Amino acid sequence: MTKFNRCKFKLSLVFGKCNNKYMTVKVNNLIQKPLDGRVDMELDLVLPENVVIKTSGKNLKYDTKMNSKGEIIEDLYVKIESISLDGFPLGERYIHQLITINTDDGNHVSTSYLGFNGEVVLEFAEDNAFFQVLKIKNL
Amino acid sequence: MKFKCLKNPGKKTVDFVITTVPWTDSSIPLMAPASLKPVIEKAGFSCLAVDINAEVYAWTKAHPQQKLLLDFFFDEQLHDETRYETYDMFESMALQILSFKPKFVGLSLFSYVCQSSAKWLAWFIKKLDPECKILIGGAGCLYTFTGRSKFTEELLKEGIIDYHIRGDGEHALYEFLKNNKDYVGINSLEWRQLPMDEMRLLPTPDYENYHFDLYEKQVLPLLGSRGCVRKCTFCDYIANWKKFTWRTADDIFSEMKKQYDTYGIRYFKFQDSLTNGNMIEFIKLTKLLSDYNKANPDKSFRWSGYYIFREHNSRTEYEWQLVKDSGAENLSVGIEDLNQHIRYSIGKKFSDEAIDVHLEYAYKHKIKLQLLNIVGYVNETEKDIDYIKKWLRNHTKYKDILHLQWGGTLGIFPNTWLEKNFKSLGVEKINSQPQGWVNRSIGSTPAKRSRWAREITKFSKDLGYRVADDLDNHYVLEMLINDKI
Repeated sequence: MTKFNRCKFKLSLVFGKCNNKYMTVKVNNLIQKPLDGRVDMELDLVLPENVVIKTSGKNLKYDTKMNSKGEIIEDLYVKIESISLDGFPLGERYIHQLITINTDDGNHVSTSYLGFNGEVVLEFAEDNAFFQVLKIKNL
Repeated sequence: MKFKCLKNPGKKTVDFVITTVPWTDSSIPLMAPASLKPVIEKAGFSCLAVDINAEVYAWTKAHPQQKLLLDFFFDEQLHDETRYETYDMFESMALQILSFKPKFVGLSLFSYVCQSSAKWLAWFIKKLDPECKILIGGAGCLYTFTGRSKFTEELLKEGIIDYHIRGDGEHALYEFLKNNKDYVGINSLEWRQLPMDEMRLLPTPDYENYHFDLYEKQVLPLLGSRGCVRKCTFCDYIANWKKFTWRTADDIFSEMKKQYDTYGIRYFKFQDSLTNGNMIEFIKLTKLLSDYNKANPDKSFRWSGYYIFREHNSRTEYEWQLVKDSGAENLSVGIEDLNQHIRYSIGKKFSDEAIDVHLEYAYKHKIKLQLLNIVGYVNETEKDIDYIKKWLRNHTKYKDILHLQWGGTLGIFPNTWLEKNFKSLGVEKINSQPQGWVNRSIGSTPAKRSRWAREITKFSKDLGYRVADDLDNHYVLEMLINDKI
């Protein structure tokens, strides 16, 4: 079997500002600087490989603002908008239901809205995009 | 898995490999690669034109886990039991295609069910050779005939394919190869229907690279016309092929003889939406075939295809005799509705009496008819359904030559007359699905129409008619050709 294990990972992130700052985000230890509130980045992966998204810089006491009715009016967050491998989108279901952030305070939250300091590990355990994309699609 | 049609022991090189991609449930050759091969060669490029689908079809049908494989083609579900075989299938396809070191690979998608395979085959090819240019085309690039193709747009954007050729491909592909990449139909929403004079100059399809031992029956497809002479209100085909263009009888007959001389095949399946659109040419063709068949009883020609009923007249008997003598075996006829008033609303203006006359001649000549129906036209009521049942009870004499298809109830598709006029007909859309409409004035709802379709299907089966459970008309016609029904 020929190895097709090199693959292009694409990630789009949307940032929410609070107190005039953005959340600090590192993807595989590379700092992502948002431009107009978003990051569209690419990585070359050699599958199997994990991608780690680390979020930090949020002060839980001050970086979520609410009005008198308890509604959030400003929040520091980063949202995963899309992920693709070799151009194949991993799909809405994966983004919205199958991503978990392990927060610094020890919780595990299934969400693509990363409003916590913590770490998301995207596990790509297959050795090529064909198996990996289809595995995720069939989860 | 090794593909016979892609074997390359001599390490031959070609400029262009064009192939079908799975999955098309067809037991006869798919003609697009064979039709485009001479066009590619005319542009000065060497070409290998193959029907990979045929090999995958044969392999899948014989596979103990056929259903699991079909899950991949239809829904992109990859099961543990078949994942390595599926991977190996695509990898082999890609490696074998690239063994010819082509500059271009063309993937022909017969229906939307080909999309998964086209996408992944393109991925494997690009992984192995990013410089190889991949073109895709065919009706399968879209779910409906018209509009944007999200599927191709995403593949183009990500560089998995390089070009999408839309609509009639013969001239667009030729212009592409002549480096005229701005030609309409190449990566564009619009395309140009091939005019009649150009259509008549198209070269004969070249099946040289096809492996005929793969097919259940030795049948060659043939195209005698494009478009349609009718303007049926529900039809999205005429919304795209706006003009009816046809080839002359002499030209078609000459192709049949040439293909017989080359491949020894004497059975032809017309891929047209109708074989008898131009009655002058049709009569001429059936005369040519009849004369040939009489003079060559041991090597007579036979054919099947789509056919329209017209109002009967003094020539009807003579025409049916010619149809018989020309070798017709199976005809697919768009009846649409057994109620005359509904047929007239649709635009099919032939009477109940005409149907009876045509059935009688088909019965006399033992020609099988596949009657294509739509259940639940916009003005159809319970009373009309009762009439259909009555008709079925009264026509059981013909059940041995009839094969009934009731379809999946009326869908309103983009760019059809119905889509443009549904409001004036009192029809209200309730969702984005083609079948998602109601006509409150007569109580027609998707649920009711679905019930009618089930009732009529069961009713006709109970009366002893053969009824298609599969909704693809071409597939059913092929099954009839293969004596599988």
